[in-house]
Amino acid sequence: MPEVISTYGDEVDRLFYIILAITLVMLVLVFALFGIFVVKYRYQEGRRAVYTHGSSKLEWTWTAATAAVLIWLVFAQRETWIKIKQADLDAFKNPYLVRVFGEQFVWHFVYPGSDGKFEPQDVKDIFQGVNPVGLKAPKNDVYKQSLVVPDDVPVILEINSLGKYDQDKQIETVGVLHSFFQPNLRLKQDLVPFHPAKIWFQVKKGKTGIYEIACAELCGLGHFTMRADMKVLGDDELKTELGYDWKATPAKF
Amino acid sequence: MSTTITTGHSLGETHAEHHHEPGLIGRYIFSRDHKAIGIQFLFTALIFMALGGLLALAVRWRIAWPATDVPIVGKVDGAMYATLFTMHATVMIFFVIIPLLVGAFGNFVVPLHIGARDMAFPFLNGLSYWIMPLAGIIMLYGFWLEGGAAAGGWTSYPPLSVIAPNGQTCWCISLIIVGSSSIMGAVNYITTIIKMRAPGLTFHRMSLTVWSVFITSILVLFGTPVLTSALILLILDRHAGTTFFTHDGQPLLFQHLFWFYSHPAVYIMILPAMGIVSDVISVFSRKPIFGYRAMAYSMVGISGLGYIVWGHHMFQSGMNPKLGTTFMVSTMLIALPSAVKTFNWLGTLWGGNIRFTTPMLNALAFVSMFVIGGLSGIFMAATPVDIQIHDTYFIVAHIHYVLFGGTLFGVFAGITFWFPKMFGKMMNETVGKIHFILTFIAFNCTFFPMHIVGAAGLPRRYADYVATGSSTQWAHLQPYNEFMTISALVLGTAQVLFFGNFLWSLWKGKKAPQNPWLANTMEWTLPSPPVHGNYFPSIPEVHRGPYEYTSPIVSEDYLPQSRALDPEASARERLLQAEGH
Repeated sequence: MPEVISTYGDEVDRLFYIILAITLVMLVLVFALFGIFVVKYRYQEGRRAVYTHGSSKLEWTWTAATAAVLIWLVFAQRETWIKIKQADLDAFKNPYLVRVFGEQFVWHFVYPGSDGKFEPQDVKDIFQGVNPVGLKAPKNDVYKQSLVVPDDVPVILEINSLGKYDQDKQIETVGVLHSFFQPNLRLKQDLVPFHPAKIWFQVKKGKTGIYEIACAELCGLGHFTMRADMKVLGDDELKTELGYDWKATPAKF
Repeated sequence: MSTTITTGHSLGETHAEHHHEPGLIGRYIFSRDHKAIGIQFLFTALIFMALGGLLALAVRWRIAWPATDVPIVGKVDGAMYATLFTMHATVMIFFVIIPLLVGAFGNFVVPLHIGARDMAFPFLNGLSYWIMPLAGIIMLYGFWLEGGAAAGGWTSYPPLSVIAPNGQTCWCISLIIVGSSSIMGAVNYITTIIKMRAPGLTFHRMSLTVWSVFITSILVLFGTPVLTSALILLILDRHAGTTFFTHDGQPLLFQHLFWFYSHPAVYIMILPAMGIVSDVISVFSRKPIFGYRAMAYSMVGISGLGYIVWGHHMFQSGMNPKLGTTFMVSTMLIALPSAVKTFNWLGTLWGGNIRFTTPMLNALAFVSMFVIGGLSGIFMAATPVDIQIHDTYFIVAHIHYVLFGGTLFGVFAGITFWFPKMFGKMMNETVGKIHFILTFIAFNCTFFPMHIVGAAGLPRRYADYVATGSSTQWAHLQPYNEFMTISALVLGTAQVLFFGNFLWSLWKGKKAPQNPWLANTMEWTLPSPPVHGNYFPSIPEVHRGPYEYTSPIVSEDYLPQSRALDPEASARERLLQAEGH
């Protein structure tokens, strides 16, 4: 698995390796028995097989044992899932906010700007090259085609799928499903048109660098070309990149 | 023999010798005989299998060597690539696996195994076959439409499938028709199995193949209408301006409806193979099935749980994450009946006297590959782990271990097992074994590395992992992709042996005896192939279960279900049965 950079990524990996260990033990056990039986009980002239229809004691034992392991697994997994996907986002202190738009086949990232407010957005206000996501007042927000985030701070993304708008014919094409996937974060969430969602992550301290965001839900012919950089930056670099100090004005969705 | 030739005839092959026998068309081409219909399903599905396999090879080629033209297909752009994998999956699922398992084996085996002369509704049975190729033609017609055939994946999620070109409509109509074919079959199997069992054949004396088709039919009957309704809504969204899945509607609704059918469908695609494999393993281990009732009830369990696990396809979809935990619980639980079955197969092998015939080798491959496919499912059931591997090649590995490693090996086992009864000829064992070994090795080389690249995050349905402008964070995995593609090419080539053996044996195979495998079920008391109407002069009476191998009552190591014993032996048998045997 690729390098982990998020605070919860190690937990995901630990759970992965727990399942790997359990399933490997099972696999080895089953294959060993399988191998032994197949060799030991291969056809021999004149030998008769054992006449048995089973053993309910044995069957109950392995059923109960398997059930116990599986139920334990559920409890082992539950907490991490809640942490990643059911977190109380309002409880984060001074989170870093970004609006993310997925369009066939581009990612758009909108930052609140120095006023800390996100501008309203309408698909009918999209003008290619000028106002790519259709912001009411495009100058107040900062628009980028890459995600820039600080390390060691909770980041909340509002993700939304964006349709296309033909200004000449005034025709709207609805958005499609995409999926925000950043393997180093161990984070994936579908973008559902008309239904924005919020997801969060926190990059571990010091894990600055450039990582890649991919789309993981088939979104059409150019699905594989839908990529963006995620730059994890230190405070000063982030200020330069955004053109304002995000910490000065706490942002709100 | 006549069955063989006329079935070929129905596929448009010319057999001059039959052109002056028009009566046969009514009797065999538009036949109402369950055996002829089963064989029609078999041939049609095998043709589609060749098509689906070639599509898969084109997909693999494009992934491994994106800069080069794919042989025969030519240049594959993103659009063509999406069409290829969409069509591969759709063809394999709806036109190969389901028709093979339910259509071909269900039809051929069920009436024979329950001692019936035919299915309950022979006309409906013929109809259920004939609309299947029709549906195939409608779907493939999409290739000639502007924008090409459907390219939204076999899942065809809206809104993408709402705004897609018209090939998508062909796809929807085609699946509605093929779903209707399934429903017709299901009604027929359920009725036949409930009403037409031979005297003495209680439910607990039915073979596991019959059990599996019975349970599968119930799944089909309750699941398929839901898919049909989802597809109708999708067509309305596409052409009638409704917004069930867009705008004010709910894109996720389609996913719920789709998976409410399609997750049970995964069991529709494996349960009959489990039944077939259970029968084959018992025959060639010369042992009764270990835990017969557990085997039957675990299939009931799988089908029941199968209806409440669909949400595990949607963990990352935007569905309420609280539901994720619920579906994780049910999904973990469904591993339980699968584990029970695996242990029981092992138990059946234990103490056996195992004959490694071609059907047995394929059945054993089923068990071992199903174990891998089943265990890899636990990773996906775990919601946090699924975040990373969802929509990656890990899923592709899982589904292929279950459906190729599992089901297709089960199909190979079934075909090689019943071929003598279907056509009165034996298949070549040596070629069969070579085909098995090559397929087994190449299969694992193709699909096992997908677990590794999947855990690394390699997303599925990407046409290119190395071109600039595409996601290149997985470019270092390209050697894996090339290795998998080469293995897939070997895998595909190995199937020539199977098709060759199949056709050659039809034509020149050794004549099959009545009971070549010394098996217990009733089809083996009939001539190979059985005549129209199966059981003459009278329906046999069933005295025992289908798995009485190595019974202490008789000196042979098998005891057919319908064999009457002398009074003394019969009394001993009742004693044994009372002891729980």
